[in-house]
Amino acid sequence: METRDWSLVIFTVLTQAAVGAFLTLQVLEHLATRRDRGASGRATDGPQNNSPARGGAQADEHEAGSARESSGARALAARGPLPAPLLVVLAVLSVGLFAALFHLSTPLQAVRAVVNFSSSWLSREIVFGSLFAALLSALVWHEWRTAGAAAASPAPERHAAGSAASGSAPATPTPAGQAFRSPAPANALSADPTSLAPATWLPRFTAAAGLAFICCQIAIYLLPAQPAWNSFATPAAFGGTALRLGILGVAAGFAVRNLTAGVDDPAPADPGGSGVAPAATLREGKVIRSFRVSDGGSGVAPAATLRGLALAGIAALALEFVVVPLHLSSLSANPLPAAAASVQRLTVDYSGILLLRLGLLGAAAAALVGVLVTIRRAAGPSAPSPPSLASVLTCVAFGLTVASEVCGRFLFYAMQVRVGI
Amino acid sequence: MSDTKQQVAFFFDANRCTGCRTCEVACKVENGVELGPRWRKVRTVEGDQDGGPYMYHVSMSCNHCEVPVCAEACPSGAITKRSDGIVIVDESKCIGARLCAWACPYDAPQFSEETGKMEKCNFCSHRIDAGTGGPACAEACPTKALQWGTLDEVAAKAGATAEFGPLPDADITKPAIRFIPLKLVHS
Ligand code: SF4
Ligand code: SF4
Repeated sequence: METRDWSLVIFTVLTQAAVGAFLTLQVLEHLATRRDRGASGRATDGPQNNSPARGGAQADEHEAGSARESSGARALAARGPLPAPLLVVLAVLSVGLFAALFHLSTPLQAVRAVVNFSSSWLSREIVFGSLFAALLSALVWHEWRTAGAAAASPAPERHAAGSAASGSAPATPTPAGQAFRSPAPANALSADPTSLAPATWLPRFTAAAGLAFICCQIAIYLLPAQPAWNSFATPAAFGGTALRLGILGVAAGFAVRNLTAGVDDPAPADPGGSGVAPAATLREGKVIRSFRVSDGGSGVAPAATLRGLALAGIAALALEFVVVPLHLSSLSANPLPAAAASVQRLTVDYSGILLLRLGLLGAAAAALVGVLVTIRRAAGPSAPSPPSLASVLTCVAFGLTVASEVCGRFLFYAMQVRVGI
Repeated sequence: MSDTKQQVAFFFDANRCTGCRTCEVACKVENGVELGPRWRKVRTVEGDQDGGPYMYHVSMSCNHCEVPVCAEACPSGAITKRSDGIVIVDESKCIGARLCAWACPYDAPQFSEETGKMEKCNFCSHRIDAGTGGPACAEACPTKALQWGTLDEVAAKAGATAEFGPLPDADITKPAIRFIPLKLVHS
């Protein structure tokens, strides 16, 4: 394999990992936001029954907080000046896009590659790849700017919410919508996203561009002249890489944060103790900014998040053990000599690399099972966060998967045999 | 020829080709193709059928397809199809992405390590345009195994087919070439 093919290995693996990680972060963000809403709703129920007046004020505070969730979360999560997870994704994407240039013999003319958008999937790939990078950069900038703004004025914001609640002292809970519209916290709300704010649409457009990017990458290889590529195995390979590296990359991000949290971010005692933390602390998380989910204030990812990612990761790893045999058998059934030649490359010429690929995936899956077992063993109120062994194993699984994906993508290019003579 | 704006085409008779490769040499000389890229290739096919062995040659270049998937795949718009059907690479626009070489079922686009550009058969368009003749390969063939004409002309020859033995499904690109397959005469 030549340098230019390696550039494609690096390009496709890294950009797919970036899209997968971005989508994984978005899903986690969505789940965390939904859970926060649910938890903050539940938290208002208890006190209300005991003391209507006090409960009302408290509920008002919580619901106002829930409505202003984004700005509240920002204010509290603005510990670092930059959204680290998104920056890592952007860095990986940038290296991947840069690597693609080395596939061209005239990289300086790369801009010409968008000219044939009307028929060339490569042109479309470049357009959507660039769009994804641009939107992701805008999102990084937006998160960084709003984090800075929120960090600059966290106190008045919280004060405003508090005074709105205690000043009016309603006997019954004020609906969230009213609290949202009440004039008192207006200064805080000015920074708040409405439905038209970038915080709402920017992540969605970014995700859509990322998905379109991967779809174009897939379509490039669906060539009738290349039977080994012109198959379900290509979407399975590219989508699978995005899933595996996306899920495990984010899991590794959490794991690294867990491992370093003890050093620079000492964990206070778990305030809830019961697993359901008070709404005020649940609002802390902002996954895309700091690899945090609502965590009861401990500064590390809760075991449930790591467990969920490990389970999803195992499923994504297992996918390949279905795809490889299916692909080989469909190629073997193909009457074209080129298909048989591709089978020969995979099972004879490069059988060692194929075995290495599958072995690495199996080892990664085993490490993830280890993560699950460790978390399960450590489960209990005294240990709400996963122990460091689970984090180490998560990083190991990610490393093994990266190595396996490189092998897999090498095979993808190595198995290519054109039809005809 | 270019006035009629009819699709130009090659014609190849496997029964006549001796594998002398005069066509390949004529192509190299006419177009000054450097060592490495082969705009035209003569390949040899061997096999066994009906109890007897056979061997024949196939001389093929770019087939100036009616559905030029090479041009569709090219991201920089460097490959275009002229109104007379000739598919040409504008090397000044080529960025060396090599997508055409992946997409073409006939291995026609040839990458030049020397220039970093893709090049291929242009049906000797300079000769067609100047009215001085057709492709040098066909005119050099000593056995008339390789000929040229309009697609309608070559398709009208007796026994001419689009599908040919070991070649890819003609439906992929609708190549502008017609073949007379080898007639096996085992006694
Ligand atoms: S010049 Fe004619 S006979 Fe010789 S290899 Fe070419 S097609 Fe065949
Ligand atoms: S033979 Fe290949 S290069 Fe020539 S027009 Fe057809 S697809 Fe394009």
